[in-house]
Amino acid sequence: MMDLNIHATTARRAFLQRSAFSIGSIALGQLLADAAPPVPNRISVPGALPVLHKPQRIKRIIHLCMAGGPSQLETFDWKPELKKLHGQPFPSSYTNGQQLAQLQNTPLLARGPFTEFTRHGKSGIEISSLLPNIARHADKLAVIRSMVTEQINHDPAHAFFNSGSILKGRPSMGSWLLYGLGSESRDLPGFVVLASQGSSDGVQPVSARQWSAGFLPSRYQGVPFQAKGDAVHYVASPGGNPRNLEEKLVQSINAINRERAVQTLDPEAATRIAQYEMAFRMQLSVPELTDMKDEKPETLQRYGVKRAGDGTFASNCLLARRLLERGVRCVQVYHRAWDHHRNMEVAMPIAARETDAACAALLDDLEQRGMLDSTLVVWGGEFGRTPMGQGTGRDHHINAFSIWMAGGGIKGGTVYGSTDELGYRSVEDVVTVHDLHATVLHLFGIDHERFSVKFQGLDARLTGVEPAKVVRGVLA
Amino acid sequence: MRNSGLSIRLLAACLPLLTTITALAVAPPKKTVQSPVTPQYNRDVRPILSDTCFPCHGPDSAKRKAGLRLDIRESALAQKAIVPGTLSGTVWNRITNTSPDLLMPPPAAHKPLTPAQKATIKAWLLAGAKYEPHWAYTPVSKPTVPGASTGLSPIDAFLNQRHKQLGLTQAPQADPVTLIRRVTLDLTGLPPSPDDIKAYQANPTSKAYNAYVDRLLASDAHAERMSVWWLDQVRYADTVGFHGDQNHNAWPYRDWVLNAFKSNIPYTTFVRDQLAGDLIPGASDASRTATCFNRLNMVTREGGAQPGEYLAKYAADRVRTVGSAFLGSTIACAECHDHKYDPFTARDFYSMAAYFADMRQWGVYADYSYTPEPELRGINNDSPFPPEIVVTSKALTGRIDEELSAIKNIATTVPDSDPRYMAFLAKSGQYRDLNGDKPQLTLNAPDGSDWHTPAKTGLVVDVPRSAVMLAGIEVTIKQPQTPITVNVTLKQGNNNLPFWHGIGAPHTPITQNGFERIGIQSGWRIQSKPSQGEAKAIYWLPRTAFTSAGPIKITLTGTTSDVRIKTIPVHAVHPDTLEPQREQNAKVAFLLSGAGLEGVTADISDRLRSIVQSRGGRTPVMVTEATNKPRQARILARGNWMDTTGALVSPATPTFLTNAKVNVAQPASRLDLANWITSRNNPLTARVLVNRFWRLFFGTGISASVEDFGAQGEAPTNPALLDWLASTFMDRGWNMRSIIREIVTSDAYKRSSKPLPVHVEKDPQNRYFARQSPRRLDAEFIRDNALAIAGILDTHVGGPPVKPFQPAGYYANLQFPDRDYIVSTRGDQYRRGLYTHWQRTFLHPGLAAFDAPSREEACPVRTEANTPQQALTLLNDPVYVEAARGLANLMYASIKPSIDNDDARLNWLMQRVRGTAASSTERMHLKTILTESRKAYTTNELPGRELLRMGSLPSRIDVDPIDLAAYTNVCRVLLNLHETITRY
Repeated sequence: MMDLNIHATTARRAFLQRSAFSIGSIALGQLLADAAPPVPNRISVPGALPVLHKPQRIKRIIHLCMAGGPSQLETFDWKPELKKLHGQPFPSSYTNGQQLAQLQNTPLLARGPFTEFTRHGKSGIEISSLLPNIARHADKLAVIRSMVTEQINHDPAHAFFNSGSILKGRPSMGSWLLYGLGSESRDLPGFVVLASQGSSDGVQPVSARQWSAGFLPSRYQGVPFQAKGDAVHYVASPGGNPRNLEEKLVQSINAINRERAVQTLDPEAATRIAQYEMAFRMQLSVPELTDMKDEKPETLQRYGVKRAGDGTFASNCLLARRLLERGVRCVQVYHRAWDHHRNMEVAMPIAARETDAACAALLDDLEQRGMLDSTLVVWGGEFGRTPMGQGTGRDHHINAFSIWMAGGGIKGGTVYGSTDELGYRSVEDVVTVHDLHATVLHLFGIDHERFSVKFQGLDARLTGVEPAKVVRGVLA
Repeated sequence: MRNSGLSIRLLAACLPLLTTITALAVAPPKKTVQSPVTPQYNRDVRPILSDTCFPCHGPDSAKRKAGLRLDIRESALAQKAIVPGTLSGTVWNRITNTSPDLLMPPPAAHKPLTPAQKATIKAWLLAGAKYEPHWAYTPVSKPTVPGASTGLSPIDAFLNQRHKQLGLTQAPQADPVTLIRRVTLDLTGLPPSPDDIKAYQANPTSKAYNAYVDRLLASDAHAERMSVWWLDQVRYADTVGFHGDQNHNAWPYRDWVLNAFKSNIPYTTFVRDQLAGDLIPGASDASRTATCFNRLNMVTREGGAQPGEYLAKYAADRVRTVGSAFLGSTIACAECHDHKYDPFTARDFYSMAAYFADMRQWGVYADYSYTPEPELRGINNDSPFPPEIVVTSKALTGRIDEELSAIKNIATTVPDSDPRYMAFLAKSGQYRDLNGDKPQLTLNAPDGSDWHTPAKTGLVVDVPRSAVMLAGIEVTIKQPQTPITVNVTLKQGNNNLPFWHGIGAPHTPITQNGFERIGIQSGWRIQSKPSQGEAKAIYWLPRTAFTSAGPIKITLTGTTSDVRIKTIPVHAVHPDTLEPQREQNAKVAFLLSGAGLEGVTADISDRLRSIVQSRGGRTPVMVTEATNKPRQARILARGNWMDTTGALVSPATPTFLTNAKVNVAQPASRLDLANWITSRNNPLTARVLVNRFWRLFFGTGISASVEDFGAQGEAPTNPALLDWLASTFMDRGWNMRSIIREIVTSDAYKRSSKPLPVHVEKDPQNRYFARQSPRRLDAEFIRDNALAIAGILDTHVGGPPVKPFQPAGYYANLQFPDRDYIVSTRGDQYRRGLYTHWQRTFLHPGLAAFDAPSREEACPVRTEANTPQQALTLLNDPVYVEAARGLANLMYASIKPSIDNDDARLNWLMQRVRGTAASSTERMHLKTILTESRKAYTTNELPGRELLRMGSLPSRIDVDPIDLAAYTNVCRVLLNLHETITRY
């Protein structure tokens, strides 16, 4: 267990100073290195875990977040019985005493899936016709059909899915990973978030809280990349100042900081020097990263990108691949139009079309570059949708939804867990959000029970206080 | 790096630094000063037991294992877990057991005891295993000040005693410039003025220092600085936080806090008004405004949210905030179960929540078909969050007065011969002749009567050609059949003449993302019949339409009631007043009329706009409104809001804090809660507050865990000092300012922050305060400091939130409603950071980069990080580029021509930024960037010109733009220095 008494300021300062020293020493080491031949592109910034608890299967994670809550019944959980019951009253034996969202105080009718399901790959996983490209990769996927969550509204459900808690000020999973494992990129943030709106009905807002570092130091927070203007806030030099001039400016700042640090003996000054160096490297690397001119037209086509850098989910997936290639630890890619309360037969195919090819192309590219077996890909929303209809759509549902994982340490071609015959409730091998987090940490070589930080007197964990389990059934 | 040789030289220079910093940085977090004496329970033993034993053998009855309770001595003894004076109890046996099955804590808990911890427990057991009541829960008594006759301040007397015991040499006093900069930044969040530095340098006496401190404490800037701190404690923000994160009207509460600090009201009143200002005898608009505190929790308007679930969330949020802000307690942990470390029970949690069950509130702030709330009918995503009251805002009335008086001042500069003024006099014949009597012309109906009867399709009236300029029209509806929304448009030929402002009485506000849309020009809504019968409105034309040309067509739709229409020749009135009045001063009338505006200056126009945006000085604010039917409050097992089996509870304070009982009528109210919190017998309130004040001025509390005074918190390193401060605070009538003054006038506060070798060795974390600690400025003050140095800070106090530049598209992920970010204009661009619009889900990136909290949750302590984003912000956020240009502008204006050269300029700049001149090596580094910039901009002028165009601050036109741009870069270096954003 990490006995870092974050909440006690004494210890927090010690912690910050220790981290400061780590980074400071790298920066000073880097100064030496700069006098020598070119440094390798990747120098890791160490994490808080001195040794990992178990073998590490993956080095990075990408979370393809279908925000709004995609219907499992039209994607990965085929329910012929529900189809037969279409339009009939939904049996109250399922729903009595259960939480409802927009279906509160209305009669409950079954709504059959409107999509076709077919079996794919050697494994024969049933996947709906909405996702033909992802289906191509069926034998790489571990589909979990028995997810449950605790939060029935978007905002807290996202918070729960990202941080394992609905309390504000809790670190998101990406922040935990960065904190524990450090970063492998010396010129890009270790945790990057890409969000796109999507063009169909069912758009949901997503808060910056979802990638917050919470009580961890803010350098572990997710850094959102913008589609408009500078990709990273304030990364461009003002007035188009030439690069070499800005470099000299940063050198002047650091030179004076060094002189004053010697006089004040302020350890934060040493960290500051290192951060200016990092900032300047980001100013060079971010434009290089986001300039996708070197991507081939057929690549763009595979992802479904009309114009590289247009901020669509497809373009963001391509950007995500470039981030992962450059050692970024955690990338989240949001598509924000999956809240299909109504008009789902029109809106859902649009949302699927905007994401399906890109997700599949990402898997292809990672595999082709030999990165897939060290990368974990997670696809899913913050909750699922009701087997009961809500007019022309479906309401939020927390008792059952589907996600899939692929990549390092994952047993491809797996279906894990199941729901009852109407898809109302996860009944077999139920997987909680905390279980999912425990599994992700496990793949990174971390025992979730021993990965904690003191906060307000408690050992705060990503996986909360109740027992959580690693989902062994999806592991290779 | 340009010159690796230079880097290596610098590195060599850094080596001693590196050694020292290493010593400071890698020191173990546990305190290294160890007393060789018997371990004390509170200081040494409880922290170990609490962390490793109490979770299963402590206050939480549900999780207690083997029925064993170790947090109470009698239980531990009764079960032979502890046999005082021996190692024969089971505790010692189990913590030293070699069998993994018997070892405590169990290996699965991953909390192994270290040999040092075991040694502490051993020594304590052998010495008789004495328990002590938890330091924070014992009554506050006033300790005797040691060596009372030494002439030291009590703070210094307590600290010195400890330093002597520990052999800690004290750091010398800081030099005058460091000290004056420190105390000014600490007390106001702003730098000292050059004059103040000079004055103190010339006379660095205690008397001069104390007088300066008193001046700072009485300033608006001090109230602003303290408000920044308090707004964190109470999670103040301008938006609701959940889902659509809509705006809510809370800023008048922020102004109430400002005023409370400015007038230094007792902490008792401060707490009482916020919790229960609506319940006190003689409740006023001000005390009701304070109750917005209870409304600052995050709320939702999301469709499909369950009211019951959200009401439970709101209740828990309030308990957490009261626990955190006033009591320094983590009572929040008792939401699902009894507290694991402290004697808070789940019943305590829900009993605390019950105090707020009387509040008029809704779980979901909208009326959806699936969750009907008839009281909220008609509310949409643009509506405010009821209940609200309308109050007078000093900031708004002050602004109106300021603009009017500015217009009057400008009027004195209008020469009699000004052609526009002469034209105004000539054309406003009717103004001069008729004002006061009949300044207006009624447009009669075809039948000759004053009243038109509009058709269903609307009413069209022609304005005849006239010799008098048309400034606007007045519309009166005789007996409006409500509800209606009236629209009036004006056309001259084919051109629409848009109105720039309209006022109507009565009118029902139309809101846009929570705020009332200014004016009725885009729709005059009347919901209910006016009590005076008639409804009246004035529509003002913009200055460009100010015209005597005709004919003009007026179209009116939305009502079929009788309507009277008059023209207004000129408006020699303040544009937000419905009744035209004569302005005696013809030149003021000329400016107010708008006639003087055409082609002259945007200034008058801006001021008129500012006047109408001040809404007559009135503003809505969310408040607490008590209902006489409080909601049922019950214990929710495991915090589950759907579980209705838990026991019902009444409002009550935590049972274990019995010594703080106050007599209350039943059922107890929020006012009783406030009285209990500020009762002299409450052991927590005063201790928590003075400890937080201490942290503001030393960087760490006397107990480092300013947010948790429970068993898991850190015991104070100088308990007598903490208790002396707490009791003195209460003795002095809970006078906040007096305690702050006591702290910042102590010798301890004035010490140098540079550690001595003995500090590195014995107290690297500075837990005993034998020196000061450097502190990076808070996010808001980094901005304020830069703007103040540059001389461009706008020091207006209070008022609606402002919107400084922000990267485009930053709110793209926000819906319900979609929103634009309209950047503030004029001085509002350069206001202090605390006035920045606080969007909870997307806090301004410049503030967020420097660890300003989103304020979704009460934030007793900000995290302090040091990140590349901070560097990027200071380098490239337009506000810092503008500040750099402002500073360069100021330099040109201030430097004496007789000594003007680059060295003098660089010295002047460094002096301005940190109070002392540049060293020769610093000058060398600054000169490098100056020379390089000049060279670069001489080769290619464009980037320099673009640099000078950033933001809205004008550049000096009397200096060479290349030089100005080059100095702007020098100033950017200065504003980016670690020293600039740190107080030493």
